[in-house]
Amino acid sequence: MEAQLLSRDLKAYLESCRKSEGKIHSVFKDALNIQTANGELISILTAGKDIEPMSALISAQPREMKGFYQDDPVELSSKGILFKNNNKWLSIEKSKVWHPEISIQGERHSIEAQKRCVEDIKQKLVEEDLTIGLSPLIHYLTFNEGVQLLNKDSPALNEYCDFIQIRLYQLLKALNDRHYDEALTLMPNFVGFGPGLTPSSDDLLAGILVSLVYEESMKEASLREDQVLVFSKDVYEICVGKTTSVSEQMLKFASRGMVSEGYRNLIRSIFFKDQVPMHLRIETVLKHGASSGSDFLFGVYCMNSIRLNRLKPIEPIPVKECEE
Amino acid sequence: MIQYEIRKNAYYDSVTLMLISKEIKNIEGVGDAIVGMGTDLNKELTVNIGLKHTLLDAISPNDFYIAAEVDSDESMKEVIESVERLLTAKKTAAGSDYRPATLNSAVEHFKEANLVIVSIAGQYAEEEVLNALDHDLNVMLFSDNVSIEAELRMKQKAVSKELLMMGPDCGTAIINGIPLAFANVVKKGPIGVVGASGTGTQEVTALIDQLGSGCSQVIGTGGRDLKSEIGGLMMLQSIDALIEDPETKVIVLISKPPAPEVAEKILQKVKLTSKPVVVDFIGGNQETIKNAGAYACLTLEDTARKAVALANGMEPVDFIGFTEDESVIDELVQKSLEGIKPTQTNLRALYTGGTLADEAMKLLGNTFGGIYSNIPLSPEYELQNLNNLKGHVCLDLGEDQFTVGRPHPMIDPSTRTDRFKTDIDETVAVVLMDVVIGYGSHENPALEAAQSVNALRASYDEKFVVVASITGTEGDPQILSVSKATLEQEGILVLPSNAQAVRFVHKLLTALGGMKHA
Repeated sequence: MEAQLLSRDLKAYLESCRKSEGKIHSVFKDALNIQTANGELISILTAGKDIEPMSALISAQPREMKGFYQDDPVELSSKGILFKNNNKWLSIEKSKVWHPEISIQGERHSIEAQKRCVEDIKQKLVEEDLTIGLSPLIHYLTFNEGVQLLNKDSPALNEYCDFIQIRLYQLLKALNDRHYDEALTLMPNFVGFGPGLTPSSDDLLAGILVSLVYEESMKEASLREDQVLVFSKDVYEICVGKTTSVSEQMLKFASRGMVSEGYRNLIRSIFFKDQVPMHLRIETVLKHGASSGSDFLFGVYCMNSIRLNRLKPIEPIPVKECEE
Repeated sequence: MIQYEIRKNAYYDSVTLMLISKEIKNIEGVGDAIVGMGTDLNKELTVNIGLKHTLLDAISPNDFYIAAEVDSDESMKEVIESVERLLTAKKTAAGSDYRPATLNSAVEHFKEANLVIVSIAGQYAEEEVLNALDHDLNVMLFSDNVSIEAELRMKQKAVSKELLMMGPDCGTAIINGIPLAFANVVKKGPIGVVGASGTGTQEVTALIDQLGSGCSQVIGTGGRDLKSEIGGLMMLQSIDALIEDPETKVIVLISKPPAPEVAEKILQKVKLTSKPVVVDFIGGNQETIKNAGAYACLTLEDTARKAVALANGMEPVDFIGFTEDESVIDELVQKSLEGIKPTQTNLRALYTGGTLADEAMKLLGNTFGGIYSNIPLSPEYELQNLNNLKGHVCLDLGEDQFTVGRPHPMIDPSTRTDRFKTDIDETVAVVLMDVVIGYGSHENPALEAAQSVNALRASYDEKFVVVASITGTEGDPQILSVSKATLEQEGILVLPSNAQAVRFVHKLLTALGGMKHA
């Protein structure tokens, strides 16, 4: 097997290994995760998947991913990964490098254009009319005058949305009011909620965090709020042990603004002009997992709605009439 | 009792565990249930819904668990087996094949493909369709809410490249024997069908199969193809294709009445072929069809029968009656009305297929004083208030006002189940419905319909007559004969076609009218 594309952080990790041991953490139809000795998760993704931090995209098709089992031992080195039980070798020597970091290069969108992009996300989520995950709560939240939770009973919500809606509202309100300490205290009551391998609330949180980090990164240095980046980092610390390992890793990277390529393209499409239409970016994200994509999108929608509604239009300077 | 199944460090694909939770709750002997990973909040929800257990503390965020309230160990065993089955089925359904994220990569990896089905939000469909046509792919466009201008552009491009662009809102096709979207399993045979109507096409092709014949190709054009703005582009293209096709011996055209100039173009083309052409411009002008040398039809069933007769080398005759002896039918009418009170005079026709509803209203005509509908034959019979029905009513439950935020009733019969509860009152004597089986439809629409009728009879003092027809074949996953038996077990009268079901209802209403005046 050959890695076609390697995330830069994984490349650096493997190059620093002489030979280290790990094991297969989890196996899926089109991917597998390896857990290293120090607890890092490395994702091996088959053709067609979205590359992400600490991952390698290989040339194999999903149907070729047979003979890998949970807890199988692996050996990691600077040349690649050896799966000891089935003797399969994944070479990284010819792989190209993918950079997972935040990318803020490009021609920026106006505020109005950003608002249109965010509105596109909302429209798509409403159109999808999903009943799973937390995105059905889009019908219950407005952001025009601060964050408001509407008192209504349709469309009917699934039990997960019912359970979490007040907590989500409180979290979003705290973020809207820039009460980051308060938001941190709310985290233990929010993270790790939902049935998936990456629980729905974590996917939503990832959308919020990435949006926050991008917003801060786009500001001039003198206007940045340190507390935002500290908040992001602290969110991850609180999540440790409260959710699945896979989700923890996702949140670790999201707190630094690092997400899969498809997710990153979507975020960038809000802030920067993009040749690819927004709806295609949205559709790519929606393909993730059962509700991971829609929950992430919902988080992106919420946080970007908050920040864009906070931006006040420039007031015209009043002109004094001349006295005779 | 509350029982748990815990799987330490177990990881599953992103299956829709919430939907699995819902499905296992339908198992007999199971109250509430939840499946998921053992995070603190998931455990909190588990406690909140009353499934607390001492085992909860032992579950960590990386453990998968099932918690259920069950009446016995056997029920819990069934829960675990169901979850296992559902997880496996989801994996199998998702398949282990490569699933490309874009059309371009799909084309790259499936070079042998020559057709793409597009089903995305209508406002974005044109871009994808034009891309598909650029790749020399035929297109079936399932999406609706596509502008007519976009439809014209897409079809003009398709025609210029001699490709098919079936749609928009095309839900039925059978290409080279493969049913696409909503379609039935129909034997291969010599009849080629071009349809601008989904359930109309299904009714005709299913009846062709039932009559022992089969179809070479079934091409959908989308409902607006024969409007003047589009000019019948796809129907004309498809007719050409079927004329050229050596496997097609008889051509069938199905549509609502076209714009006059479009009808003329189509009939001009029909004149040019030596293959017999059967034309059902549902309710349209029969003379112009006959003058073009084609065979005009009175109903969808008549269309199927004429096509099969021609395929068998026989002269087609009009079919306007019943397959059963009329005396048997009359006896059944009388028997059905026993116990119906004189105050019960109304019809409620609840259809999932719009063309079938349309055919029903046309066949019933104005004999009974007009039929109110959300798709009325004339404006004065448009229903103003769908929640306050009076007189005879025929509803097309597939129309937009019934499908906002919910699937089409052919997929999700609960729309009709809900209407049963609200639309049948003490003035109703006859209920008429269609049951459409096949690919794309609900897995057991007959059972859903039967259960709805059963529930209604349990809650209703008055007797009423329920008449149905089934659009489908023995080859369909739901099996025509099994579906028929399911309906009949509930005392529903099943006629062999929509047309016959409607004629039967006509006889019932006529007899009721006689009773009222007696």
